Amino acid sequence: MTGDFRFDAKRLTVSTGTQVRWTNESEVGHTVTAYDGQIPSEAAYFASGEFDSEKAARNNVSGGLIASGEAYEHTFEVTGTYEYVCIPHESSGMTGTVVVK
Amino acid sequence: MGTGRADSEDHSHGGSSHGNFGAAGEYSDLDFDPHEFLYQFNTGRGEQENVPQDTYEENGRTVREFTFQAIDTTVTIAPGIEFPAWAYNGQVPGPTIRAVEGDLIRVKFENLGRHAHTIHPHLRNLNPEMDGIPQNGPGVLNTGESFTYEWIAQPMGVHFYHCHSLPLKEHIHRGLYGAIIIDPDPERVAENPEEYCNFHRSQITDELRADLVAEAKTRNHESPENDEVNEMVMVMNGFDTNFDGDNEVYAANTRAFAYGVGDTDGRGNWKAGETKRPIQIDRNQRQRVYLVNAIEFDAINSFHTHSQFFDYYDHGTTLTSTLQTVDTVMQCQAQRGIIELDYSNHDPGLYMFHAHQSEFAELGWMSFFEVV
Repeated sequence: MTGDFRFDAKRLTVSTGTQVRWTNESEVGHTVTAYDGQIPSEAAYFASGEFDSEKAARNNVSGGLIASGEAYEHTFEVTGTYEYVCIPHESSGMTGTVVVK
Repeated sequence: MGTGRADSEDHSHGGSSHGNFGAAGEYSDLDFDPHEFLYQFNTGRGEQENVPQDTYEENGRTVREFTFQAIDTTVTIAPGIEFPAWAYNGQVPGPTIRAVEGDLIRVKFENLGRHAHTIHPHLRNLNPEMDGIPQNGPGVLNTGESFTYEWIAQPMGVHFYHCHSLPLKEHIHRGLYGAIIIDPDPERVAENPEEYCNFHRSQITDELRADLVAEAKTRNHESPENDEVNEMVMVMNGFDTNFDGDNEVYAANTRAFAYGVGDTDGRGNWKAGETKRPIQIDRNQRQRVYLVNAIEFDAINSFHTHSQFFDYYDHGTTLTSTLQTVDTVMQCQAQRGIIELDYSNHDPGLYMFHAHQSEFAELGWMSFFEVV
């Protein structure tokens, strides 16, 4: 998460079992929130704040915020494509993709 | 755009291509439901999950407290068409706030979006620091900054709130606006009836006073008389999808044709869709629309009912109507008013209502009541 409202890398490819760590290098809060229905159907839902659905994350944006300098981690166990978003900066283009092979 | 097109699927019957317009397909993004939005009044009692709120007494006043967060989000404005919005609590229009005159509205505002924002209320606000403009109080709030606005709920009426950051046109049209409804206090109406009508105190008869109090009760959400009225909020808005300074999609409550029909052959037959369907209303119930015009770029907007006339209360700040027996009313940006409708002597069926700028209607601001 960078100062210009982007995930770096925007698209990341990893192998199964990889733990991905998002570090907030900007001055403002961001979330990492999976899009419901845009992750493999067998995969567990993931979001900073440990919500169990996108709707729950959207109803409590503060609860998912990763503060400046802090990090969020998630381990990807299922192959496939995962689309995610920073809820407060979605329309500023702050979305990302993790591909698990 | 996929909207506003003539139906070109069947030319075998002369004229059928002139019988239909609308958006193709249904809405798949169900995060926002304009049919629910009509009836979502946040009074501090937790009506909406995405609007943290509370109500309590403080120094002899009822406080209605809300948490608002501005975010950059994506809203669906027509089937398959998304708009990059800036929104209070992720929704456009923003949450409807409702209070009773004299209450304290406390909005704990946090800006999480990329750009600087404020909340400016169209209320009679006695403290300039609470006006929500760049030049006063905390000014604009940058990303991550917070401020608690406090406004006395006055005067009675239907009011407007919006972001007052610059450039104003962009901050409003991106979606940072909503409605504030201030219900009358019937006891205050009984004591000060001249403030609620266009008569001098010397002209107030006992009968007029009683009428004003009775009308006030129908408007006060804490009175049982209010339950008899079907109340709806409609915020007229538009979206400049290609950022050329003109709107491509128009609506009441953001989603083009959401109160239209799902399908019609243009020959008098129609079907309701899952997400595009008329607003069903009970013909025996009084209907009230809290109408707000949030349109940007276009000078005016309007509301027109088919086959029925209504009484209109400009700004909702009087309990006697300001226009009687009209079927069209015009509003400039930020203007608002209350429309009182009655279909009790009408046959059941579809009654259209829409902006009577034909362009707006054909690009989304076209709706129906289905009287049942």
